[in-house]
Amino acid sequence: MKRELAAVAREWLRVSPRIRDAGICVAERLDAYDQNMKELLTSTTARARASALSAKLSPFVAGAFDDVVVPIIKFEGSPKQVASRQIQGAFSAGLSTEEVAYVEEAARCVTVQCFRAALIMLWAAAIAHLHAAVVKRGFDAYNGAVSTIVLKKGAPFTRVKEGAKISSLPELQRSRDADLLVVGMELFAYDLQVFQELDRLLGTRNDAAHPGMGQPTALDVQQFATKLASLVFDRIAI
Amino acid sequence: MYENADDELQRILKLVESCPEALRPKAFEILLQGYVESMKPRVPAQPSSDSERRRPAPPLRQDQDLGPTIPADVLPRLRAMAKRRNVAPERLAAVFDFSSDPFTFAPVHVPGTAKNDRAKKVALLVAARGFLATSRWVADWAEVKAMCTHQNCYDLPNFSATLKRSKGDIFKAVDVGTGVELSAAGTEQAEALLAELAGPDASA
Repeated sequence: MKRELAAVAREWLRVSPRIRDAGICVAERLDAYDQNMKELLTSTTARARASALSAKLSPFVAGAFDDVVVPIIKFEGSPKQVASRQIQGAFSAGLSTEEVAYVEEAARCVTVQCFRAALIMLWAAAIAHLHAAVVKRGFDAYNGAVSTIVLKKGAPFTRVKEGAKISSLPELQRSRDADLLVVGMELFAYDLQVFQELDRLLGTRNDAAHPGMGQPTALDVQQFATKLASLVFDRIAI
Repeated sequence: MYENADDELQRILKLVESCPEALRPKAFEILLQGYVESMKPRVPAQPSSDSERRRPAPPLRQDQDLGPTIPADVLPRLRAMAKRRNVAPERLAAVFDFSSDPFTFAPVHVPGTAKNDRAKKVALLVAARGFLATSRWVADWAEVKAMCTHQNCYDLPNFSATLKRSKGDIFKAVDVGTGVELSAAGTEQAEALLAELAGPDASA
């Protein structure tokens, strides 16, 4: 029994700092439980009666549900956290480490109502995906697509100039997102309607990144994530 | 579509002829475009771009003033639900607190006596909130737990089992730890429950 009690005490002392960092429980109560558990852990390594161990554990058993579990349940179930999870859930598994980092950051932004920042982070994830897809297909393929696009007349093809050709990742990273979307019609074989939808999403991203009267909401971010997931991540394989 | 195009074209040409010569091509273009636009089927709502979507909702009639804080995407679904349930939209809107983003529930009491029965009702309500927000009848598992805790009907040992028992009935799918998806029967009950919480239509 002492071994199990020691394991419980150690586990509590391991998770307690993270619960404290989340700022969702009363710090004084956490301090008290930390103290209880330290004493319990010490007792398990000394000669102690079962009644003494029980006395040290009982305050935790009596109060931890209301003081710790309930606040965590309420925090996890708050609509902000739900929206955050829905944003992450919009993207299927198989994202690269870089893409996951941007999506997770966007989700965190939603929990603190930084919706503009969330839109920017989601777009960064999409561009990271497109860059990876270009690298996978090779710069020759990209330049070939640029050459084909340059020959086409009318908008949006005239946006792309011959100078958009690249030969390295840094050059790709310097290139304009708007150009990449146009070249993508040739390189990734999506049509004008998908391009226009992506172009609108880029407009939303640019609105979020510049001063203006736009006020994106959590729902805007969720819809932005859903569209990016279907238009970029589901459509363009790496 | 375009059944009377010949007649309309004749009318347009007649109008164009009455214009000064220099303006005729432009007048023809404008009138023809107006005619083509008038022939397109009118689809309610569904803005085509994100910037359009962010525009405030169209103005409401004075007796239906739901306040400016309801997101434009939510409003059509809320109005449609209110109409289906024969409840005034503003009463249905009062079940939610739209002053926070994302919107939450206003203080409500989930009716019932048995904890398991009330927990199922909470899942229905959370799914209804999910429908209004995202148009999917799915309740987030953690949100159901949180609301059950708030409503004092969270039965820790039996919570999952309670919800799973209704799979195939009001719930189409119950993924423990993830979410609950409502069936057709569930959506019907969820709407009825929301209408019950909204109260009877004062104008009825």
